[in-house]
Amino acid sequence: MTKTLSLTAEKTIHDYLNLPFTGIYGVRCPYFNNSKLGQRGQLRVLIGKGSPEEIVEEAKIISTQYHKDIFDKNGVFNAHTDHPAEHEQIECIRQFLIENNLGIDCSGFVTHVLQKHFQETNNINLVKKLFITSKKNFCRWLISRLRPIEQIDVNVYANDKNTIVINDLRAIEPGDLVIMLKTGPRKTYNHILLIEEVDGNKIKYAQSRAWPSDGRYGHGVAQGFITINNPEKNLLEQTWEEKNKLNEENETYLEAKQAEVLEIRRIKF
Amino acid sequence: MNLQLIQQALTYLIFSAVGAFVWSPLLIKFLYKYNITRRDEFDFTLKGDRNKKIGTPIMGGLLVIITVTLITVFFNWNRESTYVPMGVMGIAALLGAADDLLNIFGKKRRERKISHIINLIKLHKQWYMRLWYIFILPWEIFRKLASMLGSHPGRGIQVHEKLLFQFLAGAVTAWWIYFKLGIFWHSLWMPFDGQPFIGWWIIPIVIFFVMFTANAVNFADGLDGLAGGSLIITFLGLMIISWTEGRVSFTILNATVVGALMTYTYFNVKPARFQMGDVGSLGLGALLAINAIAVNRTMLLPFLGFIFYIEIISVLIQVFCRRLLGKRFFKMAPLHHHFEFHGWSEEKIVMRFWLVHAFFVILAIWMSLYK
Repeated sequence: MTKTLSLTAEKTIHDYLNLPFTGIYGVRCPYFNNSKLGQRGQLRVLIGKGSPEEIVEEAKIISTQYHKDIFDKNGVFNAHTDHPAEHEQIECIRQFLIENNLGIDCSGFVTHVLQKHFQETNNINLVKKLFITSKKNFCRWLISRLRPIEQIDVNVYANDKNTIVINDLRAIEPGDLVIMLKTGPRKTYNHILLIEEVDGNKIKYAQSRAWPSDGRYGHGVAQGFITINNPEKNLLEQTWEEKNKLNEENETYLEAKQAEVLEIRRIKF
Repeated sequence: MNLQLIQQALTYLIFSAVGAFVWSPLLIKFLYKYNITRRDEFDFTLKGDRNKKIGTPIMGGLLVIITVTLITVFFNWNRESTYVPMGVMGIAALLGAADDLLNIFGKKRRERKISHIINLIKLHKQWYMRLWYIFILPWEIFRKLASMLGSHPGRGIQVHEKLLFQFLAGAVTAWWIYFKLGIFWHSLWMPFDGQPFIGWWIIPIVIFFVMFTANAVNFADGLDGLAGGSLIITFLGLMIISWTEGRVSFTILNATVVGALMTYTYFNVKPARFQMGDVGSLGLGALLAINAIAVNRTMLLPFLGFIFYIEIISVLIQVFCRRLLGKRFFKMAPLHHHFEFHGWSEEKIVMRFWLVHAFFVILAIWMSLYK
């Protein structure tokens, strides 16, 4: 039997994969991480933590402000007459989003989806429930109360106060998280995947990521599969598939392999 | 009712309007000649249709400031009433003029990081330079705070610098009110509540209203005809209030401003022949505040300057939400841009704002009649 996330959570993933622009369908949300720019006190949508609706709204505002004319005054996409093919038009919007730092980072994506999931299934406001920082660090605690989504990163999900480790691969459920700490060639960043669907031994995950092979404009929210061939073995010894690429060719798998810590975790609440 | 006074005021109004009209071609020629025009390279609000505003002269507010100054100095000069209001308007207008000119002809300002200054304090090889950096550190922290609130280093005068000059203008007004106008002015008129004595508290209240109102008018100067038309309604209201209070000089001063503003707005309605610029908006904003304070109707300023206050409050809410909550409250701020984003035409916004503003000014006049 196939187990999936709640309907609203599924819709959120769908919206990230097909941003709700008027007049065009199929614009996948790009990846954006604020760590390079280090913007502080900025709109959450401009630091990679916006919901699909906020990203669309901000794109329209930026288009209007800087007279890019991507959208008309009613917010409907202005079809590009020079590039009539639909995929070219989608790329046109994606380029616009990427050039204006609009996108979502991995933890922001997970937070928005899980928030919807827990709201629907348990009537819990996940963002308020998660432990971000203690009251001892009062300023940071206050900021985490005012702007919680911006303060939630992979480390928050890796914290034992928020999640528990799942060791048995047969026990994986939708809503569980694959957490990679200190990954990448220089062990400098963390990453997180969200388990979206479990169908027997096949696990579907969703993530926001930027593979090096994606280049400047290819990254964004994506889905992939992990086939549990042998539940007794660890996660890296299963089959990882994404964009029709298997294991070593699959850069998500490579990230998982490079991680100093690779865990499956489940939200406690 | 002193009908003679209102007749005199209307004479000034007509004289001022005609006077401004007569010399307005000179001003337009001057602004074009020296290329004091709107550019788009540092003005992101010039989008879509509004792109057509590129090349429109700014500093059109000089028409009002100079006309009012000349008429007042030559025909309505009174050390006890018009002397300080004109001075404060002059300070604010000079600040605005400097900002307008620097925005066009100035160089991009350099922003130095606080950590850099601290490092210089520690490491600079010259002791007097270390002392200098210690001296400027509080100012740089103040600049940084202003920058966090949305002031970005452009070519013109930055927010923290403007605030200092506006504080100066407010302080001059407060000094005049508290020390020169006598004990009667240590009480603050409240609508329907007499005149409670507040003593020296009048000083911060006056400074706040002068600074707030000057900036409020500045924010409202974003659409053709909006600030000009709204200011006509406000100063007309102030003229009526001054008249009912029997304040001769202020009735005439307000009438003079209305006259000059009528000519200005004639040229400023869409498509604008010229725009007010900071020289006009800051100067007239400060004058509006001081004229209301001078007839002891400070507490009516939120009504007399309703649309201006709404505009500046929309900016404050937007900055607050953006910085603290990470979200937009309005699509864009000031409020007129929010309606523009929703597809309202410029004319529709301006006329609706005029009407709403007129209603609140009438409300202010009505309240002012309750002693």
